[in-house]
Amino acid sequence: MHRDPEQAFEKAFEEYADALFRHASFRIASRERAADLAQDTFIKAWNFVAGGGEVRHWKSFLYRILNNLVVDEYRRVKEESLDALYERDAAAVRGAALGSRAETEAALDDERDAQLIREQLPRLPDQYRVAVTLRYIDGFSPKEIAALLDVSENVVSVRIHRGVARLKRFCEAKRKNHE
Amino acid sequence: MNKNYEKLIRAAGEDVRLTPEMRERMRGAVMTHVRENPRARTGVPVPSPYVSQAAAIFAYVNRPWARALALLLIVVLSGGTLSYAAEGTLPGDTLYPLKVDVTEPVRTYLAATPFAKASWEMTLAARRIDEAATLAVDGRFASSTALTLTAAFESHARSALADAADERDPAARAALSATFATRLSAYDAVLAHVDARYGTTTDGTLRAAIAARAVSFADIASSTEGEGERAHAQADAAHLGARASAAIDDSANLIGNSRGQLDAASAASAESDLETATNLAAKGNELLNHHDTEGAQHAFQDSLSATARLDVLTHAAANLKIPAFSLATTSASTTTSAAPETRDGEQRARSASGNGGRSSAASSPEGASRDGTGEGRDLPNPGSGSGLPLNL
Repeated sequence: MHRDPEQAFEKAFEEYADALFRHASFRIASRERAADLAQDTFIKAWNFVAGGGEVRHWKSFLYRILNNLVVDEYRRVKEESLDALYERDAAAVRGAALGSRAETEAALDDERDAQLIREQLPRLPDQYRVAVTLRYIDGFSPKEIAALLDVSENVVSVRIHRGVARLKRFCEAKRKNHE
Repeated sequence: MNKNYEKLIRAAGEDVRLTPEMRERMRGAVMTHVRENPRARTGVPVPSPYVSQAAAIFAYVNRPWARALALLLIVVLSGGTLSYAAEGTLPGDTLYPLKVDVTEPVRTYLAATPFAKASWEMTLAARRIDEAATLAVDGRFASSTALTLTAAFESHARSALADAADERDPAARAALSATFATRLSAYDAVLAHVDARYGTTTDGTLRAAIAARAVSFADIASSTEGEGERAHAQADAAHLGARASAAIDDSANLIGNSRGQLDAASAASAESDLETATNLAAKGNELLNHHDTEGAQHAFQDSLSATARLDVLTHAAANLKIPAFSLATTSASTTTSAAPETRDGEQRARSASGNGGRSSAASSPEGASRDGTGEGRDLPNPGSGSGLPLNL
């Protein structure tokens, strides 16, 4: 059944607005900027549709636009020091989480681990950060990530593997510091 | 353990979402834009949101080049099937003259900048070495072949030296030269093993030529240190970092594509060396962010050197079926084997890897070669049985 483009677009908004915001939150420093980039993504996507373009796969289309916007954002803020960026990134992701519904001790443990990951994920170099975020937070397969980033699947697999290994090291070091 | 972490990462993302207010605000803004910009009925073309304005302008400005290049490619590719088949040939094969007399010179002509020319000549020089090693392993290495391949290697190495000298960017010139010195040192170790295992068949003159050129390129790398205007240092370092990153991706591709041909030990060594190169590049980026451009350049050069060595050894292990990574342990002991955590560590690593120092390959052709730093990116050549990855 042929769907009206505006209806398809609106459906894509309902389906992916949170996901795009989530992805942007793990990539850049500010919660507000993450929301801005998610919004800009939909604006650009509509401009393409309004011009007669046809979108077959909304998810990858939207993520590709968002990834380009994030790269532009990095170029814009590149003068900031690494430490300041890390602190802002970690704070942004902490702030973006709406809070835990955990009640049992096991669930609280899991929530603490999740919070640790939210804090440490922004410390990964962006190549690893984007691969790990797309894979485990956004749910893309390595093949889809390769198409999205215009790299090979081998490269994606290496980045995911190394990203997770490095994230583990960061988390374990942080955990030891608190003990 | 990895599975748990994957679950934890997924869980970490679950609570990150828009508040209802933020969502409604965004929805309002987006849908207002939709209503104010209805879909055109006539299908007026709109620039794809994938393509940045800069890229669009660049493509437009360079259309004449694109047309000329397309024509050249059509001419070259009209013999494409044969050229492709010739890529993996060795001296003595029917199509080998097509490879060395037609396809390779055309690509030399297409290299537009001194950097591209030098890189391509280095690739050709390395191809001659690889052909010698493959012939020796196949038991087809004759003394006449040794003379031909040695002469060809010398010719390409001389051209590469001249082209590298024309490269204006001192950091790129140093990186290019030092990486090639590293590759030559790794090749020397490979040939030494082939000679020992299959009898002295690759001829001492080729190894002597390799050792001498490794010294020449290491000298260029060390003599270039400190050159260059400070005003461009940051941009040059960033450019070098981009090359290092691309080299890591290419090495990951090579390892992935070679996985079926590598034994477990070689695969593990390759992964470890890739990790080292990645850590060095990450260190370079960190130093660059702290405006330590000199430190960053050294880290990127070390990363490029590490990937250059890794590619030679991976290729040898996969195609020649030799324990290349264990062979090169002598040179590895003088190479940065782990990411230095401190500036002092970097300086020690640079001294050990031979940045700014002479390669000892000239004095000891049998081994103990020292790594330099440098450039020379190759991409895997899918059709090659013995040919090296192509350099673009």
